[in-house]
Amino acid sequence: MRTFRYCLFFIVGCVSGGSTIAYAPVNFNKPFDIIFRTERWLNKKGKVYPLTIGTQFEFADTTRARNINSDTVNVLERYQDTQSSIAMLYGSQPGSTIDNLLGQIANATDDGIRGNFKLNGEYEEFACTFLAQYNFGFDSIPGKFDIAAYVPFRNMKVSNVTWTDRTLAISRSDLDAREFLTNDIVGLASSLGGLDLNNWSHHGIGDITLMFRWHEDFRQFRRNIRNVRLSGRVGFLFPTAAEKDENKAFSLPLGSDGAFGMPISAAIDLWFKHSLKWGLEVEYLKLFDNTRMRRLKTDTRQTDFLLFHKGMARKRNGSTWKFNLQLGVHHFLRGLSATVNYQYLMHNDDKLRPHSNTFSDAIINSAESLKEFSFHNFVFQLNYDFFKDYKEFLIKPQLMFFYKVPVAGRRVILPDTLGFEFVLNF
Amino acid sequence: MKYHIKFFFVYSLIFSLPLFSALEKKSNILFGTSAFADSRAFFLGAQSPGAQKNAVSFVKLIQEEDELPELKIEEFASEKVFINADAKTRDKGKDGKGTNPVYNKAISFLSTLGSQAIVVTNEDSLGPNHKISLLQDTNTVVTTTEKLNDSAEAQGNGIRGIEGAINHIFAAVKPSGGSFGDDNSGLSLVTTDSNQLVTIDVTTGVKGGNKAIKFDKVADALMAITANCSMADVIEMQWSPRLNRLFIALRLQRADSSAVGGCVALLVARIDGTDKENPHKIILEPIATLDASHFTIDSTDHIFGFFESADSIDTFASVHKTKLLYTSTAKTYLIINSDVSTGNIKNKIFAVPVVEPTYKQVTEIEKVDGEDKEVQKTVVANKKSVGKIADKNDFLKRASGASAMTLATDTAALVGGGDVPNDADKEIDILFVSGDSVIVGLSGSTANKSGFFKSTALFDSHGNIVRWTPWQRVMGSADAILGGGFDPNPQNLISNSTNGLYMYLTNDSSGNPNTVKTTLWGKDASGPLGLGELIAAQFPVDQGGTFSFFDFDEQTPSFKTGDDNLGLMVATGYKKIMLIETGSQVIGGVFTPNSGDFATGALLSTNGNALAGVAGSKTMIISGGVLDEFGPIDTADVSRVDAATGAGSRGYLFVGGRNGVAVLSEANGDGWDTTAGVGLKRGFVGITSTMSFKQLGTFSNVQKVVCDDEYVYVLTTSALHRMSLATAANFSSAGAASPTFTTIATSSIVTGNANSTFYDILVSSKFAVLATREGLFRIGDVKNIKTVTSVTDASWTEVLIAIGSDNVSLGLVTQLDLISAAKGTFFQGGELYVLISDPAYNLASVFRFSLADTRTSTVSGASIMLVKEPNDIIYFMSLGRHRLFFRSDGILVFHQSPHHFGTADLLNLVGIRDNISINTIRGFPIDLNLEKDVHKNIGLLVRNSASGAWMVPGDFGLRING
Repeated sequence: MRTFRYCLFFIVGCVSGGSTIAYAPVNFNKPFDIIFRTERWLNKKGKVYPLTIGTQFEFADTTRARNINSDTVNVLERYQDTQSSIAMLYGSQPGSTIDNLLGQIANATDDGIRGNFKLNGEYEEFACTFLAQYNFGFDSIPGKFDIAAYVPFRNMKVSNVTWTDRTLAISRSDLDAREFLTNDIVGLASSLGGLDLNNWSHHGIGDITLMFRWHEDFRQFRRNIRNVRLSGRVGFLFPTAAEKDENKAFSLPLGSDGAFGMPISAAIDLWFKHSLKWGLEVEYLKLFDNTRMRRLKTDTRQTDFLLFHKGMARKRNGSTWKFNLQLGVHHFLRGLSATVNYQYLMHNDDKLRPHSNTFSDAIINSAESLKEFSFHNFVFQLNYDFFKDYKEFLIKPQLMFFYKVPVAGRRVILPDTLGFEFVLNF
Repeated sequence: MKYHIKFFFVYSLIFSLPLFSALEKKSNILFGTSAFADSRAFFLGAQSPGAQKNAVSFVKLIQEEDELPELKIEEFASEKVFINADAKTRDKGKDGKGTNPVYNKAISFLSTLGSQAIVVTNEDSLGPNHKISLLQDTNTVVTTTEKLNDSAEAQGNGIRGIEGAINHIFAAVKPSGGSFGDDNSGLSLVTTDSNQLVTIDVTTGVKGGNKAIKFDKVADALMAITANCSMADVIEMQWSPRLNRLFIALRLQRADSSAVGGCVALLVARIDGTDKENPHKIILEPIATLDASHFTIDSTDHIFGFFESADSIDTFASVHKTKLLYTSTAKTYLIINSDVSTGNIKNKIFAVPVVEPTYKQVTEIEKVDGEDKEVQKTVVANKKSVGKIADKNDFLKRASGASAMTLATDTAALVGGGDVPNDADKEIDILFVSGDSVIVGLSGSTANKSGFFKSTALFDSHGNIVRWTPWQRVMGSADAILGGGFDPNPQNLISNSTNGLYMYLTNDSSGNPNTVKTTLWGKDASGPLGLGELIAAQFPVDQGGTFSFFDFDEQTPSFKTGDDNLGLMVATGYKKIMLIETGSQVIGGVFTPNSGDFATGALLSTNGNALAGVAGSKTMIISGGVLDEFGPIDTADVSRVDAATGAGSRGYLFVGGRNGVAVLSEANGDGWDTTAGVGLKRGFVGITSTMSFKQLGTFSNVQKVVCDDEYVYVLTTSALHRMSLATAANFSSAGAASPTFTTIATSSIVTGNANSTFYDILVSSKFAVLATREGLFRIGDVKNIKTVTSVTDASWTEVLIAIGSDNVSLGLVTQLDLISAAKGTFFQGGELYVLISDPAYNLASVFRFSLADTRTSTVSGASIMLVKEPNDIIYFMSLGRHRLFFRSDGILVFHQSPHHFGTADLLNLVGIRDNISINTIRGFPIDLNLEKDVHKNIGLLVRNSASGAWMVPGDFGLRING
């Protein structure tokens, strides 16, 4: 009966709640990120608390991103320094409206200034995840097992977008570009490509994830090392999040953009004397292929926010690797722990495969947004476990605060983020 | 640390030094001979003894890493060298060396064999002009060791001329005790295939023999028809590696002018290797069969020969120089500097087709590993005909009969369409071919007869030469040319600023032949008062620099002819234009290109009005007034009304751009006076201070303004309008706002696409052709662009090209460029280059068409015909990427684009060569000495017709090659 109650609670926890963490090129944590892992305590009977529920929050607001060269740029410059309104016309059907427009400016070359826009914008994200974890108490199997469900919710926003025309007004080509292209780029993109170049925001559920974890402690009786813990996780990611809105230039997916996924990780933690703790986790996320209508390049010179053509394409998502290295002091002041994490994430190139001959495989895959992105973060973390403070309480709370400082990255939005987690153990 | 400081210093020095056009090097030695193979093999021979190691010098263009190109004159005649040395002698090192036979001597004859110099000195151990020395490098010389025998196998009286071929050196030998031209004068040969130059009995091919083949003057033997000829002491030889033939130019007359007979003054020699044991036999033949039927009796039109009646007139057939021209259409012509007359005229050049080799497969028995084996070989099938005069109607066979012979009166034959701009009795100093052009180097007494000049072949639809462009100065200077040549792409240089290189020997300011110069791409070297600095100041980079240059040569119909004549360029920019006098003819003088100071006396107006022209002023700059409304000005033209026949007799300057068209005129609409004998004069005299620019109508998006005959045509992106220049009211202060014009094309009707665009136009007399987004369109059959009354009346017809059985459109045609058959106008047609450039596909290709002269013929499909390219390829060039501009002068091809998606090769050059269209040509980028990330835009380069220099507009102002 108690098991049933826990299961019910688990399901309710899964389907309720608000916003998400997803796989846009942002240095936000995934809900199953290792920094959200809480310490497992035993009750008076020496048994694990079977149920853990909680919530995680992370939020940020930034104008900063890193481009291909790892330079700090505006979030809308992460793929290209400027957006070309000349290239956006290339590769259209002969005789089409876009092609006719190209005919008007056939002699206008793109020198990086003419027909180019400097973009400015601001990125905001608020992520909240509800989690429920059932801790198995198997005695017959070595190690400890748990299963967790994460239901993320997310609110993402690209605001204060400005398109600053860099085109001079000196030569004929300049004037042609201004008249036919840049004077009203927002209207032009809307009429020619059905593309909204304005601010964007969206909120909703993210990708629900189930994670199964095993870990085992190996007590050490050496001079310096107290314990070695090995752990492994495997999960399944359901694409419940909203996909990228292809009609909004700055839209981002709230999750894996419609792809099922499978996260796998392995970790080792070492406890030393003086409460020192060191840990390393390697995480691999496999997102499976998915097919849908996408905005595709028709010329390699096109820039990623000014694409006028859509087509069905299958996306082979690149693999994501994440490495987390932590060093901390464990319960150095009652339930207080302090940890510094170094995180490195690399998402390999995505590949598109068009479903028609209208698009060239090579051209559509030249989009910068499909190329590898990566980031390096330092996360400063404070955990407090209230087990000792509320020994008599049926419910044992745990609390964690973190502040994340990005230090490097490529093709990624890199805000400083702030977050916390609050969990209850039953 | 030291290294970094040094690096910084060197780097700063290099990139702060402007790379100016033209390099110069003066020597203490006076040079009397020269030989040029390419920029790596330009040899100079001392005029008189005493030059020591500089008896033979070579010109070296070098560039060290991080250094600017430098011109040097280096010693090539070391005092001590290995002479005819075998390996054993060489092993002795310094002790094996002897005194160079060339050292400190005066040089009589100088030629090249690859990068080696063939030298005959006026004094050597065998006697004057007897020893042939081959200077292989500064350490090694191989020579002949005995005097060359004449055709009677007696010791000859010296060498009269030399020419290098592969492993051989031909020598014209004076007969024993006589002068060249006397009996037993002969052609001999030495081989270079051992460690000395070995003589040959060329009548048998035996190596080690020593006998020349006879220049036989007896009737019907070698050069004489029916009666004997006599031969002057003149010979010029030219080896063609392509044909493996030696062309020999002579000066002949009948031995007895009262006898019926004729002479052929052009011979062809080949080395016959049929006898494998003695493979050096010379076969010497006339270039045309010695048959009276090949010549019209008593005609002097036969270029290299004649057949005369017994008229007792001393007619000479004189061939001075020859060169072989292999055109880009894969046709072979012999370029002949010759004359058939009673005099000795030296300023005529003709092009005559000669028979090309054809090939066949044969099976021969050869010893392979000691056994006889059958070997398949490709051999020349028509070796007896190769190099002989071809039937002008069928180049595959030899000319037979007078009607098959190319005549001096044929327009296809007369290079330059007339005389070389040189005194008739003065020898052409240098003659060579490059691309489809013939280039002469002259050292005449006046500026108009001095410098390099070129004439370019114009082709018909079969790829045959149909006519030649008028002589046009090239290279950018009127220096006397005493030797030198042209190298489209010098090798082994780091900088690309040397591409399209003219390298020459000239006189210093005192008239001494001791100075070598080369052209370069770069800034104008004229200093602070020069054109480059003036343009940079007037057209600053923050206003886009210069957008375009337009050249109007001295023969432009609305210019004064003779005294006070001028050459004009118009530079256009942002709300401003500059008139540049590029050359002028002072009273009693000759037309001379301007150089140096263009700033002193500059006329500057800022209110849209002109200033009164002043003889001596070289520039007039006009801005303000209505030009302020125009923003970028990128098209200009001057009226080209023929003073003798045109109506109105007014000269106008039109300028235009995206925001309209303006005309420079008086308040009442008059332009400058162009009645016969008047016209625009040097210093812009004819333009008055009461003239101002007036906006014409309400045209917008103007692509081009074109003047032809008595009309001006305004091409906008959507329409073509025609205005008569005879109606002055159109150009008056009151009438300009609403001029009378006829719309003769609209893009929607011409192309059938409401969204189409016009890009370019060419008007040539009755004919016109439009470059559009939907293809190339010409005016309809029997129509006349001057008289059509409407769009429909013009019957615009698309020019399609045949691919297999299909006729297809050219698609997006963005630019037209004409090599005009005439100077001053485009109305005689020419060769039209059509640029197809699609930015979306990032591809560009060029087609060329033969454009007929429609002054006297009606327009038809034959008025514009695609030129047949070799190897069944339909395009002239495929440029491999989007390019905005294309220009060819028949020597070089340029393709250009401003910065485009990171591609920064603003100007590329391709040397036209054999079968150019079989390759996708990218060419060589030219270093214009631009500032990275500052200079990004470039306009179409233009030849300054007065100086011959290429001038490049752009946001950098001006760059030149000169």
